[in-house]
Amino acid sequence: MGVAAAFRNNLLTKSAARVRLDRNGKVTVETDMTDIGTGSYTIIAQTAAEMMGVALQDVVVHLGDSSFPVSAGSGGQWGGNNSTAGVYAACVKLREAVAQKLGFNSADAQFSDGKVRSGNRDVPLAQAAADGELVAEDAIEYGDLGKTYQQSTFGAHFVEVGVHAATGETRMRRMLAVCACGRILNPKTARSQVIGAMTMGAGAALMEELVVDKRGGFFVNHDLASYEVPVHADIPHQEVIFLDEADPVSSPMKAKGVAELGICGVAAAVANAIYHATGIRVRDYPITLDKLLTRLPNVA
Amino acid sequence: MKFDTPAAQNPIDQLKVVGRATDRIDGKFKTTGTARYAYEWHEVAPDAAYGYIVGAGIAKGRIRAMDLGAARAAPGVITIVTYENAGDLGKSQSNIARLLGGPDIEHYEQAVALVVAETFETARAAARLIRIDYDRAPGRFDLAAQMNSAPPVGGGSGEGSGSPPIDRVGDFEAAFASAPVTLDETYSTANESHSMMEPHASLAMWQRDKLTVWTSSQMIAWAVRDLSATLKIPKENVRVLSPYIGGGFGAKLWIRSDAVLAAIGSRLAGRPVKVALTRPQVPNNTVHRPATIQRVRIGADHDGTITAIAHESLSGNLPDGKPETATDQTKLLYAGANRLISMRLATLDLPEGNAMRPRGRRRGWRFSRWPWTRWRKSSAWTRSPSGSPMTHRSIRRNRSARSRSAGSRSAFAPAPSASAGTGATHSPQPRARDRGWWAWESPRRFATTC
Repeated sequence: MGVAAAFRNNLLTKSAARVRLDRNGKVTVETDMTDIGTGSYTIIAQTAAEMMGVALQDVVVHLGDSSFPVSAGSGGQWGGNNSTAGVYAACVKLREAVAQKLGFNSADAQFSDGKVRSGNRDVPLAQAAADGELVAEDAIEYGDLGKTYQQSTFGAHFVEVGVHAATGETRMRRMLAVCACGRILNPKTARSQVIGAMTMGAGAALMEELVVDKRGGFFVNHDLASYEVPVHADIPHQEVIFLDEADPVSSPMKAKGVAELGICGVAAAVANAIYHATGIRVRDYPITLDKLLTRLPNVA
Repeated sequence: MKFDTPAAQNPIDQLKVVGRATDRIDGKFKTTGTARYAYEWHEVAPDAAYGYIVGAGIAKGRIRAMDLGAARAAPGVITIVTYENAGDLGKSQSNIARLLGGPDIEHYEQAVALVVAETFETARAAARLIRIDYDRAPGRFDLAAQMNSAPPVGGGSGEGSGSPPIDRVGDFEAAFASAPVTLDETYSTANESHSMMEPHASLAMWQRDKLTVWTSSQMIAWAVRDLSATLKIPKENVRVLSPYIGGGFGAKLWIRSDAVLAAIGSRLAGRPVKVALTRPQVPNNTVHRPATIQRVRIGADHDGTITAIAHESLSGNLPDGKPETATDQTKLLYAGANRLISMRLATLDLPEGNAMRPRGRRRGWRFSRWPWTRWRKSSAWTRSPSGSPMTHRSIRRNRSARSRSAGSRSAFAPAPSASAGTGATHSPQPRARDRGWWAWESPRRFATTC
């Protein structure tokens, strides 16, 4: 068994979006945000559905086009929180436009079940767009909260390995990540990101190395046959626990970065587990079997 | 909307949709093959030609001559892009090496030509007919060899961890020298490749002076900015689309040769051109996470309280490149009244080093075992069952190994019979720290195991 701390900053960057409401009550979100396999489409749709009080199926999301408002983009675990906060900002504006159109005080209007309510009056949301589409655009822009607070995410990684007594080959048996990273917008896609990150961490610990040809000056193993990366099937059990929290200084979403927290510290936990199993402390990643082989203790 | 005070109650807090474990709404497109990736916009450009990138065969030097004759004469070849006909190109601030090399070569596999042909196969076949003569220049490829000459550099990653070249708080050396328990170890991490599933790919199309690029980019606005700067055309004339991306992990934060060469190839060919890097081109043509050599020194009291901490990291990059910011987390997370944080940057002529799956942070925490796991290991964990049917060793057997390693090399191996709270029996080893904090023993040491 091995354990290590996980720590990664939560980065706040401006992010914009445009939201449309059509006469059928469908909400369309447009932002140049990208979905690199992380689930951006889904959490953006969830955000718009929550804000406008419609079902998820009534939201259409268009991403990745420079003709759309400029978002935070994807990287450095800043995409999810910032891009949804940008959609939140645009939805706040659209709610105001809807309230005004329907004659509600926007501060009192409640949006749910495809309707707008205030007091004992309710009107279908779609009616606000009866005369034509309503469009709102806005951005989340951050003040000093990124400076007055240390914006970070925290966690711990736990790893169990088996090390082959004769060959020194390390096999991952179990991994667990415990993450404190604000409100989890979608536990399913967040978990997928973290277990993917944990798998990458296992790669860094055990396999991944571009070998330098020091005469020719290039990386020798430049394909996936010789630069090996692990996959989920290499790790029988992966578990993620998200601590139940919401962080109000991060954004209106009260969410934070998730994905990279899942990788920070994994390789350290693996190295610690190998040490625990064998008594061999390797400080030179990746911990390939050749670094263990000659030092393995005698096992009868 | 300005967000400058902590969020109050708002509609998101209802959590009717947000916070629910929802399937990906794009999942059905991906699983049915109907999500369009950069290389797959067939109906947008049914007449697209195919570009194949030729990479430099040397790491550093200059092209003396290029013989394109046989390639040009090959069937199906439409045009060949090189530095001689690519026009006046700029370089965006995001790129260290130029995305089209020649005549000067900055790294191995740097793009030096794009063969545009009717099919991928004809483009690839013609690319192999190009003959290039180089004047090879000596390059620097060995990080460890530059350990003692690489200058300290400041910076960080703009996350509150930026620092001067050598960042000191208190008197690290004095506190470390007087600490009852110390660690002084060197760690190394390898060069790594992002290895995302989808290699870099782009389809470029011009309509008069307006360029549209379908590509695989994590950052759309940066792609527009950098294509504009590289091609020297107004940003308003560039449109970038990237609705689906098959992973990036940092490798697609900034445009790469596929996007630029597809655009130039399309301009010269007079029709849409698409370019994908083949997998073997990716590690050397694009970017990677640079290797590091890191020295960590920690001085602590017997109760584990850190009184002195030093973290120095060496990495390398092309001229004008940045260091791998491996020391950030030490600065942000670890206590210790007396501190020394430093990054050194060697000039290397390897391919460009850049951001990858948190820059500098992926392995920074292996010493976070200290001291927590040590105490635990020698108490509760030793009583846990071990020795599985396969090969997991029992702790009892380990003890002899640990004793050996403690005696031979490590200032940090736990004492065999240490129990919780009394295990701080390790004395500082009279090693490199007495000879200046970058005067390590031997660079060779890092070429093999510790």
